[in-house]
Amino acid sequence: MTDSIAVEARHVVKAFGQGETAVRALDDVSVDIRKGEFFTLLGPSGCGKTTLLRLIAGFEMPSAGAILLEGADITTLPPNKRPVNTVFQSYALFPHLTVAENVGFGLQMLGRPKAEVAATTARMLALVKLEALAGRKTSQLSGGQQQRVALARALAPAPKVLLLDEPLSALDLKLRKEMQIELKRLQSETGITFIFVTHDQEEALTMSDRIGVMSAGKLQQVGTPKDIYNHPVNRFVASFIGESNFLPATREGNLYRLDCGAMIAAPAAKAARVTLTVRPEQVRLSAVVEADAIPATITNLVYFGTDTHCHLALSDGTEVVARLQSPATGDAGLGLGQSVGLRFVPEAIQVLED
Amino acid sequence: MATRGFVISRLPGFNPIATLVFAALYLPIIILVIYSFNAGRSVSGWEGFSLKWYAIAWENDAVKAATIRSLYLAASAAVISTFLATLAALGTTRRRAFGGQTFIYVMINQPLMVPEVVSAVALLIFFAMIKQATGYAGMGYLIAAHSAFCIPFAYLPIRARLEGMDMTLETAAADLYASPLQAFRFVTLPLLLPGIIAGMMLAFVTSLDDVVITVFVKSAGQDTLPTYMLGQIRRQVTAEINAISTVLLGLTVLLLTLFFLLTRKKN
Repeated sequence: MTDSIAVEARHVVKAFGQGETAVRALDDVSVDIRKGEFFTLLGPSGCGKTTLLRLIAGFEMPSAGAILLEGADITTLPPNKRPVNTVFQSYALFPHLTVAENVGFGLQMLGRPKAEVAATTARMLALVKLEALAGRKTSQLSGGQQQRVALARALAPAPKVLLLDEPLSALDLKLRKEMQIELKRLQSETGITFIFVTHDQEEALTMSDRIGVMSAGKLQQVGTPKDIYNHPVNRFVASFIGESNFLPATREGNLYRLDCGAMIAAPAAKAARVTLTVRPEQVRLSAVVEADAIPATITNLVYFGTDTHCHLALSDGTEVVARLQSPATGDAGLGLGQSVGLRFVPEAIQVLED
Repeated sequence: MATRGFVISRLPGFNPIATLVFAALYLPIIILVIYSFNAGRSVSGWEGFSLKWYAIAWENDAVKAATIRSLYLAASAAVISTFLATLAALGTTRRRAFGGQTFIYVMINQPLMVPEVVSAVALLIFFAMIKQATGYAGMGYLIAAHSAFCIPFAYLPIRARLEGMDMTLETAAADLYASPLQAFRFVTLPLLLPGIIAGMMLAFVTSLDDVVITVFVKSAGQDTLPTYMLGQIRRQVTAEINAISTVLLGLTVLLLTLFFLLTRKKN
């Protein structure tokens, strides 16, 4: 089992400052990242994701806990002794070197023979499709090209793990989409473990094998994109990834009573007082209020092109958003102030106990 | 985009005052240069064009010795002060802020603030004590003194360059298996080089034309070009001084132009 683990963080704590003013950027984080996977650390800015990345790279030392690389403790190893490379947010290309010299830098520092450095550099430039620019200075490249050089430079020494610190945040939308596909291609072609840091939930969902969602220095949930989206473990994860409706409810036997009085079936929970969460696309509306539907009133309709967000108020004032495919609103003849019947897709209801 | 607000050049009297200031700055120098080509003995009456004072200066062994001494002294002081200034600049920028940083900063730049004559007297007394104790009377004292007062001139451009440098580059080098020494050799140093060269040239020029400290510190027979000229002028004024000054001026302008080009290229 441990053979398949690339990076392991064990109860890692990182505090900045001292005494009462100390800030815990990481608060007891433990995670296993598997070999060859595309693992994303997702969270809002200041959640500690970049700090965890810097600890794995060796730019900082943890205040407590250990970092293991393929089973070996690397907690106190300096960055130049770790077979781990980083793609920096600012790219950090060496301005006094050419593209090829940048890409070959790591191998050169490792003291590899010149022929090997040249051959690997050429192979890496081909991998990121920059052969034609090998002799250029990096300042003459566009943002997307600099990004590719940074990738090739970090991949050239064939690290065990590649760390990517929000590498796409400086690119415009179109280029970012292209690079997302490019990154996935590079990862499957090289088979290297990628640890990718981002605050963009869509990027995380589309690219990752697994995602670790972070908030306030803690790892909130680790799982596949589907897991995280369909079965969020707490309110933070449910609201940070995608949109969610939150409905306070009280457990009554096997059912839950919403504050508006309606009874709903949902998975069992221990606590008496819980929050039910449902994605907007899992809410169904009907113009006719049937006996088993929850009565609601339409308070707002927001048109998004492919779909329309229908804001509803339950009888106790709880707000619910339903996402409807655009033609459906017109077909069903929904309008502001109208009373409608509301249903949740039963298997889409999650119970949060926090 | 031009803001049509306060424009200083529109104020009355701007042009005459500007002209006057530039004249005051450059007219004496221009006259000095012109009279270095005078054929006559006098420095006030023009007697035709000639290069004879350059030839006389060139033939003068005392001038030759002083020039070689000056260049040797300036080069030594520039190299030593730049080396120390580079270390100081790295030490004050490449680490977390520490208590007393401003104090250190002031200490490094001390020669810019303490009146030169005070430093000169202090050095005279201090070196006299060493001389008495050791008996050594060589160029070492001048080199040490010049190196010391050249440090801030070398330090400022190097520090400016370091502060403008992206520190992520050194992190990236470490990430790419460079040891701290390799990271310095292959990343920091090449990027810092324009600053180091600029600092060295400023130090060189500063040492080259120093009079006050040199006069106090030098032993007999250790005249530099500026102190030799001072001595000559006390006896008799000939256009030979003009010729030497012009050459010195040319050298300084050349170095400062290089300095300007080097520091500007960065942006």
